[in-house]
Amino acid sequence: MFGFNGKTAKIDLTHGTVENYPMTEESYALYLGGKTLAAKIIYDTFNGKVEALSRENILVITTSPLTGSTSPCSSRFNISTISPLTGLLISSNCGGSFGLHLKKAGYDAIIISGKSPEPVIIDIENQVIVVKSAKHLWGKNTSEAQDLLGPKNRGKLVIGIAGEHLVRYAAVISEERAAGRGGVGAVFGYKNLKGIIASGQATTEMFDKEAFKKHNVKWIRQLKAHPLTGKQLPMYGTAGLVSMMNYRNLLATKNYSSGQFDDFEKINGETLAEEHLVKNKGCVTCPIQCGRQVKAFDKMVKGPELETLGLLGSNLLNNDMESIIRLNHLCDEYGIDTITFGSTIGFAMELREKGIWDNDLKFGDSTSLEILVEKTSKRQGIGNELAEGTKRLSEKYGGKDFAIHVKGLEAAAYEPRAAQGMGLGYATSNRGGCHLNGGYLVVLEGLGLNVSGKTTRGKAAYTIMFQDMMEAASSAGSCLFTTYAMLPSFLVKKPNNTVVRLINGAMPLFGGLVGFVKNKPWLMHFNLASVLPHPYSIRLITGYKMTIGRFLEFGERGYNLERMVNIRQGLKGSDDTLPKRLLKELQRSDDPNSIVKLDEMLGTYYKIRGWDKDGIPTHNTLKRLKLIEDK
Amino acid sequence: MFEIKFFGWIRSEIGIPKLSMSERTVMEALDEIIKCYPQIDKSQLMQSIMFINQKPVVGKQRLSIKLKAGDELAILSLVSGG
Repeated sequence: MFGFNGKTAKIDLTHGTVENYPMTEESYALYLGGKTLAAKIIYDTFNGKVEALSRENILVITTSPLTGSTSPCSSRFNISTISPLTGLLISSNCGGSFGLHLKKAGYDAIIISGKSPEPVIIDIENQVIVVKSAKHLWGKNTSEAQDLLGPKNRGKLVIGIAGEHLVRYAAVISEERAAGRGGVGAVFGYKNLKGIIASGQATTEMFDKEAFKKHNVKWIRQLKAHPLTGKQLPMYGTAGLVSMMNYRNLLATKNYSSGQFDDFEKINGETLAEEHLVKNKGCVTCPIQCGRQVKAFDKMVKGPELETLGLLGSNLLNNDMESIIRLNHLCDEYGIDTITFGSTIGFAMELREKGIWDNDLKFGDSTSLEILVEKTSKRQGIGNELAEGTKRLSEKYGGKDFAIHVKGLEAAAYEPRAAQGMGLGYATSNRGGCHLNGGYLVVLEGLGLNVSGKTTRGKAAYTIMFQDMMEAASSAGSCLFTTYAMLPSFLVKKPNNTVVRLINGAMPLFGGLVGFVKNKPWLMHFNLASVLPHPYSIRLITGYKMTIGRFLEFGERGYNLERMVNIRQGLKGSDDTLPKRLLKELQRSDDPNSIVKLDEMLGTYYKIRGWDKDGIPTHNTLKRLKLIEDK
Repeated sequence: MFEIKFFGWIRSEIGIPKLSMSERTVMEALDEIIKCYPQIDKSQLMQSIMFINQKPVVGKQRLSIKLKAGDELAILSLVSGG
């Protein structure tokens, strides 16, 4: 088998045993790797609903065919489980080098079940797996725990104090990168699993190594030449989004009551670069290097990304860049998700402002935030309530109309009332309020391209296409940022050109065509490697007959499989919605259209997806995608 | 005087975050920028995204808009991320 080790381990922490998981070649061929292969394992493991913090729940850590191949931006790995925040499937993706090390250790994936009676780590080296005591690591922050786990040339991932205390949005940290969303760190903590280390010398066979090498050179050249992946992201990182988002009314501000922050210039990517940046830093195999190393409070630390600048900055009316950098650092050290943490605090601030919950949190006052990271991570005082996240706070205190979460997961920093496609993406994302799993259509709606964010026309079809493409790219093991290079350079470079403006204006009109093509992958039974390099890479690594059509079908299969796991966990079509603030409250009083018009898009979305009116994939859809037996 | 603010890679290439000018049209302001900062690629500047007082301005007609005292012209390049 090309591109894979062909080996998955199942580690039972209750009994301290390890066995091989019988992954079939058909599973690799249908689900590739990453989040989709993990969803397949989770779907097959359970028969009914599973509680997140239970012995039954499993953690599935997966690599992908591109992992270890030297493809650009291919060092990512995935952690999937049932989320303690949403009760649904969560797939949390992370950069760094752990994925590469796990694959070199000889495994494509590991499955962790049960619960250890005492703190442990899992040590994986050249297909030898040992469960070791981690008593000496318990209570340590993530950087110290990683230091204590031995030499730097091994892949490491750990939880911090937040994971140990079952904070519902605790993260898993690897080097300086985070598998942040959905509380995978709390599931580690529940299982008394402090971390995992991996290394080895395993190599996988490649179907066509020479052609792959040539293709790789072209792909890296494409990424470096593109204005987004070769210029903007290396120059400013994701923080470079802040200014444009502010002008486009897309920057989550004051608990999503606005899309613009008066002080955005104090927290934007330009200020971060000019006043704090020391150097760029990225994952192994990455030519983009979007990560930042910044200097603040006399230390060199990881710089905040867009989401952190939004949720711990504008969303709290916090205009202090040094404060955001320090909060970002502390959240990584304690191991909590900056998005959910910031959003939960924003909600708590509004509850106080409205006289609903008497607490000390005030918009624009960042003085108490740093101590809140520790209190939340240790579940002390008010931190014990904040550790539950926005949804549970709203169930206790009220304020559901302005509790900004979807299916229990707090939304990202993109305010969707100025980007209808992003609104639909949030509402339908399998993870909940996730911009990337939601399809990230906002990249067309005024960020990377200039398609109108106000219109709902065509947005259902484009959202589906982007969701499926992101799903497939993620399953293949590629960073999603590589997909931005698919946007034709001339559309990005010349937005005022007459032809480009016509194309941007006409794109919504072609939604029907996009929807028509979606269910007919044979219409795209070809590769355009210079536009979308991922399918051709997969083909050269694995030997699978991968085309653009089949690639999107892989994504669609994964998206539907995740949906089926969620339905088994109790998800209903009525959960595909947004908080009332985003659906009913005008973002701008002078614009009667500044709400998310979800009703205009959701029915079309279901129809194109091949789901019934309750949002359940039909028998034909599941059969077409080979998710059920063809009887 | 009105204010011009630069964001994104245009700001990096021009080397300053903002500047002030006396009343003139957008086209005249862009000409002045090119004259003062010859390192800027004229076509790139002409293709930038612009907002006047937070409102987007597009098309050729944007170039003839007269900027008055107290106005803000923001010049940005397109972006991506996650």
